[in-house]
Amino acid sequence: MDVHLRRLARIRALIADEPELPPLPGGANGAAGSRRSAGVGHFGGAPGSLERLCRAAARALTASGVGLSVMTGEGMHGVVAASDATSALVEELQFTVGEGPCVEAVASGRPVLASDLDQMVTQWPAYAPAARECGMRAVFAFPLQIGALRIGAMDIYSNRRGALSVAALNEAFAFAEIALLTVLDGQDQAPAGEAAAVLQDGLSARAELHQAQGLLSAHLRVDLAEAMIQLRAYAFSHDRPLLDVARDVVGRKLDLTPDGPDSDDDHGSANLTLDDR
Amino acid sequence: MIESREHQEAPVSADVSSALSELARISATAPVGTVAAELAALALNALPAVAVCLAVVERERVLHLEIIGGAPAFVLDERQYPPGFGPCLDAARDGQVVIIDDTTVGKYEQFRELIQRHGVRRVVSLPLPLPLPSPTARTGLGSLTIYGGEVRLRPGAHGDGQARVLASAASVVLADALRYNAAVLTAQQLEQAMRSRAAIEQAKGMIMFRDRCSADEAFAWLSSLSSTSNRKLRDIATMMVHEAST
Repeated sequence: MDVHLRRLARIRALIADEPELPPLPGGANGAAGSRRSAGVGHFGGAPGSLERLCRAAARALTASGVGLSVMTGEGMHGVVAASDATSALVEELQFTVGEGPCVEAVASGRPVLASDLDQMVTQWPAYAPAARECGMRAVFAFPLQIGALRIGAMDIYSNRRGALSVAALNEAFAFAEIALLTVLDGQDQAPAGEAAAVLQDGLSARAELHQAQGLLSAHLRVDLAEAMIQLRAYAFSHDRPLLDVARDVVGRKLDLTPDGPDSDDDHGSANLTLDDR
Repeated sequence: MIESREHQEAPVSADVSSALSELARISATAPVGTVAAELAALALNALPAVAVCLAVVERERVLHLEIIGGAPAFVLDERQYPPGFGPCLDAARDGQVVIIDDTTVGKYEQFRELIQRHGVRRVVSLPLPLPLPSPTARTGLGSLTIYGGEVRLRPGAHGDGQARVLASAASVVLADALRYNAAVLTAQQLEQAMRSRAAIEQAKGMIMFRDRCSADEAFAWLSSLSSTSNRKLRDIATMMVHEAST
């Protein structure tokens, strides 16, 4: 128990030492500044602390990158932090295709340790090849959980195949625990009805996704779930990040109505369109 | 009468030993009331007591009060006593051991008369401390109170020592349960907040299509509706979104 507490303390110090960097591209529409919480919590609940956690973890584990996603019940999910832009992309990929290590770790409540992504193609037919294309060879996902409660997962990426050492596993578990505590602590300090300050950058980055969802739902006269399916299908079949597609829909640069200029009807690919339902 | 710390000499009794191992079986993921009831039952079984009271407090507010054992009349009397008074709550709030026996006068004299009616000669209330001291918390987790039928000839007889051991161990279990239950609540709030945020953005998107406007203009429309109809913006958004999901 002692060893564990000391490990947690050491990792918190690592995170505190990590320099502050501006939010990743595509993040915070200036929302981060206005939402900075007045008090700093026990685990440093300031916006940016989860990014620092990801970078500190990548450094400590000599990983290519680390991503953090929150997944609550009812499918509310998304990337909230990552150590770098590539990790953010690969992290987001899971939500575009609906499968991947984080998704599985949260579903099972156990770590998912894929030391060779080439072996995972049957299990993750959409995710594995796409992650490989981004340069990832191995991925290790740790659920953020306490008891039966799971709120998300932390993904560790490597550009080399191979398992994590026991020491690295212990470090990873500790980072995941601190991530969980940071989110919960941050949520405790949030004003009623609002999400934790540490999550605001990630939520702001997804704002356009939900706007696009609403816009498309009204435009196509379909429900919100269907609208999201269409966005994800388009992103996947055109090999574009979901958030980029959303930005274009919101910016009126992309029209996904059937028979519209950007609809998939003339591409002949197996996507969901209104006619296919 | 407040007892001073005494040096513990006697070994842990077999009953308390077995209770300590039983503690491991209490699930920290159960509701706090359930955990409190299980702890109280364990204590009643392991200690020489007519009844046991386990109080869980949070910021001076009583979260749970489990009274177990003793005649039903005793239990009823304890609950009818003026709220806030009584060794259970004082020990929890002040973090000090409280002992009431035949010699007690003053603050607890009334209480002594009450319990003697039910064959209780001695009451020991042990605070349940926080496992790690906290600069911000003013109270511990609660208290464990043992209502005994026997008279102690001197203060600090080793019977109290057994209860202290059990109280320490119970603190840890209780702390785990409180922390877990609090985390569940927090996670629910997080989920709700994320859902609200998504709904606000989805509603903005719907308005952006309907009015051919920007995200900021859509938000301004929602804000204005919120002020004039005196409803929270997130509630309006949630309703709009709900209607669109049918």
